[in-house]
Amino acid sequence: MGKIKRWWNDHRPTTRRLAQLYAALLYNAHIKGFAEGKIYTGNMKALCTPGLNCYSCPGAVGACPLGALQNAMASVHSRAGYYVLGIVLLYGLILGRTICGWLCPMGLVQELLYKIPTPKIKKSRVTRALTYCKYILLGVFVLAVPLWYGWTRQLPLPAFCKYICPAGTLEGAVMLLPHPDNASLFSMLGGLFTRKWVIMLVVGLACVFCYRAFCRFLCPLGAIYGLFSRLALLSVRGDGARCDGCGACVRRCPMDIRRVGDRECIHCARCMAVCPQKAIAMKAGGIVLMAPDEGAGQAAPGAAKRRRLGHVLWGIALGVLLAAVLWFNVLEPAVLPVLPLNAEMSEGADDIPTGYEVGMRLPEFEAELVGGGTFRLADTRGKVTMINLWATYCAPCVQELPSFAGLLAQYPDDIAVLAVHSSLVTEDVGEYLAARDWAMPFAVDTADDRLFRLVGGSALLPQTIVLDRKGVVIYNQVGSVNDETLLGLFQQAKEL
Amino acid sequence: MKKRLFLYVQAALCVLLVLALCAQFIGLYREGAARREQGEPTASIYTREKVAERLTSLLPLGLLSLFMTVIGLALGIRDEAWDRPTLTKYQGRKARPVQAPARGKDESGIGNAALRRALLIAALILTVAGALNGSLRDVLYKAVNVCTECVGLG
Repeated sequence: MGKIKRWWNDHRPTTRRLAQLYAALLYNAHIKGFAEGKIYTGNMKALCTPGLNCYSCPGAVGACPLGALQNAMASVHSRAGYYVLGIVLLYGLILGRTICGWLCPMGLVQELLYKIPTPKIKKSRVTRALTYCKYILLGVFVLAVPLWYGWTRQLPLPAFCKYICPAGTLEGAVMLLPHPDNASLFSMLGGLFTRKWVIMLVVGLACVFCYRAFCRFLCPLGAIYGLFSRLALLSVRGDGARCDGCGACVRRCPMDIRRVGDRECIHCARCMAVCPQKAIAMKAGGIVLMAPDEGAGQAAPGAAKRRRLGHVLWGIALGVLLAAVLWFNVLEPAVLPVLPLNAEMSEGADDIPTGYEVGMRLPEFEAELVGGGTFRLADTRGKVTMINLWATYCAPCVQELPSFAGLLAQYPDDIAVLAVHSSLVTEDVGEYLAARDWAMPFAVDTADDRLFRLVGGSALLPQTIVLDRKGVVIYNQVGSVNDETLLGLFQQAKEL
Repeated sequence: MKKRLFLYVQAALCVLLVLALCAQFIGLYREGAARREQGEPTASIYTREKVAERLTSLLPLGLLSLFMTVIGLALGIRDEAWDRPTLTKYQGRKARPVQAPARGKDESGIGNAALRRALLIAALILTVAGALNGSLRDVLYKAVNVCTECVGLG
């Protein structure tokens, strides 16, 4: 019994670990998303979470500030992203890198990986030098590339998400793929997935050997919050009157700090225990939140009061978590209703069932076109019909549209094309299209997502549906297509 | 000595597992890409069955690594060097003590309270302006649609 108690005392989770776990659960309170393999699409997703948490995770109930910042940079040609700048500034000023140490789910994942018992790489001048990498990534992948592509080509390219972010691969792709309902997603995996899979594994492996490797060397969000190290309201600080400059705090810190509270400090408060002068405390402005014991069993001044306050705060926090789980899983209706229309449809006269799945005949519909006119599916009989679901803020969507226009120009008598923009519109689609020479019909979906529902659209973009000459679906998949794929599909549909 | 050996074996297992996972997926990609080049442009590079098959082949290695991790954690085996202070430029000589607060600075002596207040007001104004100019809605619309390329799906 004594051994178990001793083991528990050595291994019981610290307040910080509980806070990390709490934040991870709160950010991902849409638990049914994991069971259904679908992301949360409610209004709360407009709120950016403080920590790095991919908004394509089935559980995510908030937006990732880094993804939102990249999208804001990419859409600067149409609208200034004041909200994202404001909220990141707010988080930085109030919490700073305390977010990294206490409220980041990726931080928790990294620390758990580091628990795997292997030889560890300690900090050194090399690791200190590597911390500058995250500033380069911030400048290039989060700011410059999205801004450049958005400004010059009006192409939304969240470069960090697309090329590097292991959180996106882990929480987005890896969490969505195993669900049986998302089996069709496998068809779109290719070179990009392979690259990101390898990056995720390598970063994960680095975290096994090196404490918070991603956080220290690669995370641009940590780099942003690090800029607020001198200004953040909540931080771990040294008491100038007590500190004798022994440097124990710096030597025992696993991060690459030069002094407590600098840009690399994640305010984990571990240094409080190693400071022989008891000179370090966690403060919010002038209020002491955590202070070391004075030694010889003597608690820090006000410790009992802080403990009571802590219990009350944990009680409130648990209440908030329970309310969030209830709200996001039971009470709140989603923005994007997922209504399978297949079940509502009857079989056609020629025994071909009506629906959007392969082998079914797509139901007749009409769509008002951008710039005037009407697209009638019935009018396309005898032609191969391609329907593309897209949005102006979806980079792969925008990149593949010229392929559809090109194919239509090449075979105008054999192909009918319709590109349907999501009902969620962030800029004037008419103006957007006027600036481009894509000669093909475009429609914007109705507020009730009628067109998307008719063709089996989802929260995943882009999506392409191909019908043969009789209007029967031969292809309906999420993911990018290129010239070769489209030509192949056209040939296949033409032969049927 | 035994502990050290345990740590190195576990490290080797971790590296091996990651290398194997990378190799399996790169192999799958190359097979699929070759199929596409051979005249099947719509052929899937990855399929659920093939991925499951490759992952299953690595299951023994993964389980062994997991078992070693559990044993290591339960027995408290870890790199003891981790607990020793790091060699830094501070070792052997005194570090610079924390500065006493200067006039006009906050009590930490490293920040300017007035600047903080001004930036806080600016942050609040930006957030409200964002809600009014539609950038809040932009964040929502982008977040409720999965951009497949952004999460690495393709």
